[in-house]
Amino acid sequence: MTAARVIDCPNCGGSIALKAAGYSITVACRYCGSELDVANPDVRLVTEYHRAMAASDLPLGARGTVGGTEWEVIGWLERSDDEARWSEYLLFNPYAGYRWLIHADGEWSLGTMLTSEPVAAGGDSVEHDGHRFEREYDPVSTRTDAVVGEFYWRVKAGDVVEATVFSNGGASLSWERGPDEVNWTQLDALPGGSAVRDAFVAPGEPPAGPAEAPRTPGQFGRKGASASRPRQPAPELAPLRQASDAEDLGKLTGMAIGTSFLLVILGLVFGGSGSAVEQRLTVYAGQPAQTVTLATLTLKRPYQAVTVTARSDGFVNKWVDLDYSLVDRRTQRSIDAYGLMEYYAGRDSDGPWTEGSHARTTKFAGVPAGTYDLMVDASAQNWSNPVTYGSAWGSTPSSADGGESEPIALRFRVKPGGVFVGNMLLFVLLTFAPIGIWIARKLHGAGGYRS
Amino acid sequence: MSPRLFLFGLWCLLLLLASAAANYYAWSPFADGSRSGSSAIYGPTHK
Repeated sequence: MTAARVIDCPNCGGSIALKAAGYSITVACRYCGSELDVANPDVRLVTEYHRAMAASDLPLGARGTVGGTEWEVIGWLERSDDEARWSEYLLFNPYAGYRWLIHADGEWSLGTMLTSEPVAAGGDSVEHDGHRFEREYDPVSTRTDAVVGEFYWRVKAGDVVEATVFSNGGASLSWERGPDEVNWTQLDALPGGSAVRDAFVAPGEPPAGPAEAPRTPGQFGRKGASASRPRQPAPELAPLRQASDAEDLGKLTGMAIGTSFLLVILGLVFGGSGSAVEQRLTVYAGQPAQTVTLATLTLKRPYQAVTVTARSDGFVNKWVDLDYSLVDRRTQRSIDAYGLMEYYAGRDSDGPWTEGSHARTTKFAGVPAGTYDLMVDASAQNWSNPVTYGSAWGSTPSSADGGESEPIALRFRVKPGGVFVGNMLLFVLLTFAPIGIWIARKLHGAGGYRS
Repeated sequence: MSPRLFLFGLWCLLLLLASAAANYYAWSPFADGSRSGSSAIYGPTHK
């Protein structure tokens, strides 16, 4: 690591902290924008810097968007081996870290440093992230010929490492072994040729795209490029960004589907139940409520649900109130629940209509282990309000509305356990919510700094 | 793995753990327990 150093700008006197003191050749004053030679105040050295950068396609401080992230060029290496010479630009984004932009023979690629080392997969191949890569050639000596800019490790002209490339036809892995360490970098080809270079705009150059609102100074954390000149990704690079997003979207969707599957499995496994108990009861509309014990349940799991399903046959224009009480025999504590079974039918100007159901499922949640008596207080009532209903909506109740003492036969099925479909839907919805929000933000262009 | 995928993986893991806990305690906001019949509304509501 390099030591921090503070210098005073000879132009405005402002204090500037160098993050890579001793290796940074130039730095822009954050107060007045002057470019300073921090290696030596001599003008001759500035000339050497410009001479060195003349071989570079991208000047330090240039900014561009690649893969959906805006990067700033903070370092440049010119490297060579026995057969080729190429440029490597160190890109920096305070939120995304570092990347390499490699330019060789007109082809550009983006390098991402691997945090986990690929594992040997036999022969001349390695495996990384589930993919197998074959070595393209034997390691060759690679020399660093020129160094300009800031780097996060010690590098100087004349450094030599052993290097080779592993490929699987699509992506590539670069392997480099120096005196002290081995580095792996994933290389992703960037289509577009000169569009990549054009995507980066140097400090002082006009922006490539239409004007945007000025970016807040200091948002990017470096002064190399003017804060008032936001960058647009070159049109040719838009597919790169879209391809990256599409790839991530596919992976995110796959993860969400897998998670949803597991959520459903979890719900079904925990919702498993014991044997059901059935009971019958007849109530009469307009008569006092009847109270009966439907079942005695012994619940063994620490917590579980209890499901009660009530069914009936063909009553019309009536409702049945079902007040359940699950009473713990040991503590006499009661857990109450309510179910309403109702069914209505009639005819109006649109024709016949029906509403309601002859079945009602009621679920208790979080019932502790123990022995319980499930009791129900059931009563039935007729629905009858022909004056109000007829005048308000122009319809009349059906002829089956009468029958004050008509019997309603109820069948109950009591079952320990229960699957809460609402829970499953809620969790599945939450699983997909971030993807939906992301897509919505993309569609509305509200991406902020990193869209 | 990109930070986006990593964070989403954490989110999925969190939901799985929350779901496992909800299932273990048989908890659900959609249960009928503790509901009172006194607030029930009777009669057809489709019009």
